[in-house]
Amino acid sequence: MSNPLIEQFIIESRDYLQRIGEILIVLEENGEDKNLLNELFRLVHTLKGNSGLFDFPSMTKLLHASEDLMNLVREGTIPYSSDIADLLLEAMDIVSIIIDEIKDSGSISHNSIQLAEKKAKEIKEKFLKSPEKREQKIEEKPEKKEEIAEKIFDFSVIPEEFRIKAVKEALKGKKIILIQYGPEAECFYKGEDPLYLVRNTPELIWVRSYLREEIPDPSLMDIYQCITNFELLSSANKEELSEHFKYVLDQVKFFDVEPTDLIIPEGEKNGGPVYEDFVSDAIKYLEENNVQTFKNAVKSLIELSSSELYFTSVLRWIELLIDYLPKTKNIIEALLQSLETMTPPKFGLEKEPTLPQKKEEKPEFPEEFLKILNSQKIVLEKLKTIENNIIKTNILQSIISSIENGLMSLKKTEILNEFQELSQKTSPKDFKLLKKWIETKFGFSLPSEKVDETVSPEITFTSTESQEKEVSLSHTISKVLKVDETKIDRLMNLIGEFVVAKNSLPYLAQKADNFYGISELSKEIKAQYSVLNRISEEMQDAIMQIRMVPVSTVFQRFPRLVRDLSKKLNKKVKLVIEGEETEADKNVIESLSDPLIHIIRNSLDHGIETPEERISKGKPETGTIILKAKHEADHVLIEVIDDGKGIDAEKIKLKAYQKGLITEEQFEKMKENEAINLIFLPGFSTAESATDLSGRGVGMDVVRTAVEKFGGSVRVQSVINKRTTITLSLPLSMAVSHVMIIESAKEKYGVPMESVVETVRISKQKIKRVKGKMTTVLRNKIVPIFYLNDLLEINKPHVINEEGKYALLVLSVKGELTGVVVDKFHETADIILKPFTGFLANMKVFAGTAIMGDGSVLLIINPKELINASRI
Amino acid sequence: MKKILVVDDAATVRMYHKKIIENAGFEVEEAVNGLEAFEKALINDYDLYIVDINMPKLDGYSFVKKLRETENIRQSPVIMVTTEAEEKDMDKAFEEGANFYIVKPVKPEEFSKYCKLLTGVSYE
Repeated sequence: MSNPLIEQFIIESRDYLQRIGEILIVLEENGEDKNLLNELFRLVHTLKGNSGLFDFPSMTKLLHASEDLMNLVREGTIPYSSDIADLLLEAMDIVSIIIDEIKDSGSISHNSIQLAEKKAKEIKEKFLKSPEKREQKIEEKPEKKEEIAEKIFDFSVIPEEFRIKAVKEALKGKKIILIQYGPEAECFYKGEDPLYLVRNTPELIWVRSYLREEIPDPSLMDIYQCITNFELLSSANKEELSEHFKYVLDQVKFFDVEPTDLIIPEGEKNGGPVYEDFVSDAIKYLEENNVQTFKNAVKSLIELSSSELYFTSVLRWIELLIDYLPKTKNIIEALLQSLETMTPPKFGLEKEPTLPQKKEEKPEFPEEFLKILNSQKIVLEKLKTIENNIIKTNILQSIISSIENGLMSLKKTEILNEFQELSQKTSPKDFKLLKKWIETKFGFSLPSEKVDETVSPEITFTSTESQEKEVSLSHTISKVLKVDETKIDRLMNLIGEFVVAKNSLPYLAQKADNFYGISELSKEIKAQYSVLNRISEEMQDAIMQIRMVPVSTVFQRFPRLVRDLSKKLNKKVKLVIEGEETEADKNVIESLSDPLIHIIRNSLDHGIETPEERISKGKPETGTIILKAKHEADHVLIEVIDDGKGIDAEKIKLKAYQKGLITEEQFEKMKENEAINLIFLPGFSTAESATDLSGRGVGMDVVRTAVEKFGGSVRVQSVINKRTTITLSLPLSMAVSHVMIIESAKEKYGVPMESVVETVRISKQKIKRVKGKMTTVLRNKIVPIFYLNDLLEINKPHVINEEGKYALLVLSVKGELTGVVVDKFHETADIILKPFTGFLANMKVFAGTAIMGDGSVLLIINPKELINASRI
Repeated sequence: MKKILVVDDAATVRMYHKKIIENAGFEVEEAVNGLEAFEKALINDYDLYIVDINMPKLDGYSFVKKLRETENIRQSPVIMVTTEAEEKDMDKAFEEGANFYIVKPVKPEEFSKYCKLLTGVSYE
């Protein structure tokens, strides 16, 4: 997308939607907060104003309705309620979808337009219906909208046979109804089966389904979300249909279909035999009411002609309509006419010709100037009521400037001189002359009725909002620059490249000295290098700072989630958020989102008990979930603590044993804390039966995998019937990784420090072969051992040191210890990991490469894949 | 070049107005609310103010009021930019000393004409 205005609009809208969402949640608890209500109104209002700059009428309409609603709430006309909150949240969700669509495609999908219009209508009908004048204006709109929506639907997408079927029903006297059904995304959790519902629609004639959004990347796709829309034709009456769709009425739209809208002949217009006489004959039969002959003629022609022709399609329609003569006469005539012109038939819906534009002569003064003058007249009028002399003088000054500038702009020198002379005589005490001058000079033909109307006394009323807010001028305005994320990423990549490029300088210096023999130059290059080095370090630091965002960006969606889910589960839950200002790299923060959603869903579903259960346990009725973030060394810790029923270690152990995830021996020996952490094992699901929320067949192992992918870890602690604490630990930044450098067969490799447990030396004798596999015992634990050279398919033995010991790198992969024999250990280093691209990306054993300070390339091992390689 | 101050809390609107006015040949400065606008007015010499009504910290009405209350600063014309709904409140803006109003979203051609007329720049 290249239009900066739209980009700005999207960025700003997202901010506003975010804030609106937050306020709505806070208001749930304190609906009386006048300041928040005002802020909410202002945000919605501004959003609407912004959207008005573009051609997104459905979005503007929806925001307009929301704004009107907020205005009533803010003025105290209607009290704030959770109904209103729901409605506004839903409306903002739609707006949010629309914004995403605009960002992705530059336009709004048909479905979203309908959603927006429907929601706007709902808001209007629920809250804005009142006998006042202003509301009446709003009420008129929905009627028209249905018409428009009907026009939006393209009936030609319906295959002809179904259209014929529908028209047949219509001719029998039935009403044809078009139904648009957009099941909500979460419908599967409500026990709805949209497909079943659609299939069993009474008197269903035709149905089609389509995706309302593009199928995302499979890895991002949530298959538990419904993204399908349905469109149906039915000849059942509206009551029957309303009954059928009664549980999803808010997601269904009914439109009456004009039968003529369905009569759309289609097919190849050229070719085939030409029966020129047919049309004139047909008209004759029609006039003479010779139905049988007409019918036979049509029938035989249909048999003779290829069914793909436009001509034949028209005939098929005529054949259908003949039986219902004479009421279908007009339609048949129109069809016959269409045969002559080969254009789609027109069923008497001619548009009125537009009136020719009146040409006006150029007036002496442009309308704009006269409008400005009129405004000045109004301001002069107001001036009478002002007491303060300074204000009076100042306003008068602005009026004079306004008129003077206008005349100057129009180059009306004569009048300007006259006016300037007059303004000299004008003073705060006496400006009657000025007013009179305006009236006599221009007052005769003021075209601006609009401005006049505005000041007519019966319409005007002053807002009760306090304008005299105490505002301190010392307040500083923080300057924030909003930048598209891709630009930051680009900058980061450039800086990365710069760091690499800079690294070649020491070699150049060396070359200058050794190869060309110019040691002065070598020195200078080295000096320059240290300058560049310092700058590059600062650049890296700066870009890291830029990428740091507070966790609140992820946390702020949870109040809504907890609110919605607890409602659904009939539980009372309070969410407490702590440390939301804690910062970490943007990617890290983003990676947190999905695991956290899963954890919180789990807490709500399995952790927190129902209010009754809680009371019987002597706990407060309302459960608490604490979401906490804090820094610890170079990690950010996120804790989710709930005061629910806790995790039963014995149950977990038993289950793990039954599922064959642990051995009998482990079962016996395992400590409570270890047992609880079994929930992270793949294939472990805590729920006895799958419930609405968490029982999705994916367990906590998904959380662990997601967190580990970013070099983080997760653990759980629990006290039964008291609380469960789940702690996620993630590195502050993913841009820089810490690796340990090892050597094997004279080649250096990097191993991410997250997976390195320890480095030990073991003698050859200590490596035992068990069932053909190498193992050793380390601190009373059996650890499988591999040779790195084997894993990397390097045909060389590993070297031993002078004491006859191997270098063993102990790695922790998926919670299991594995030893890898290498040749040598080196230092650790901070590197910027560059993943492989192209063919090399298939080499999963390596996570990528990094450029070292000496310009050499270091291959970074992916421990998980490395161990996997051992199994092959 | 004549200098105009665009006051609006919505960055999108500021950008939009700025573009139109710059195309009309003006120099544009921006303020995100009435308070910032007023601070700027105290030290700069603007030929015209284009002011939104509903803004945080200090709204459009209060900005005009403050501007007109202050001695020894240039009393340039003020255009209020309103929405349809606010149109009925324009009386209040005139009371405080605004000189003109225009309804959102502004039409570029019309808008630049008003800017020219109110600053004395040659009108086409």
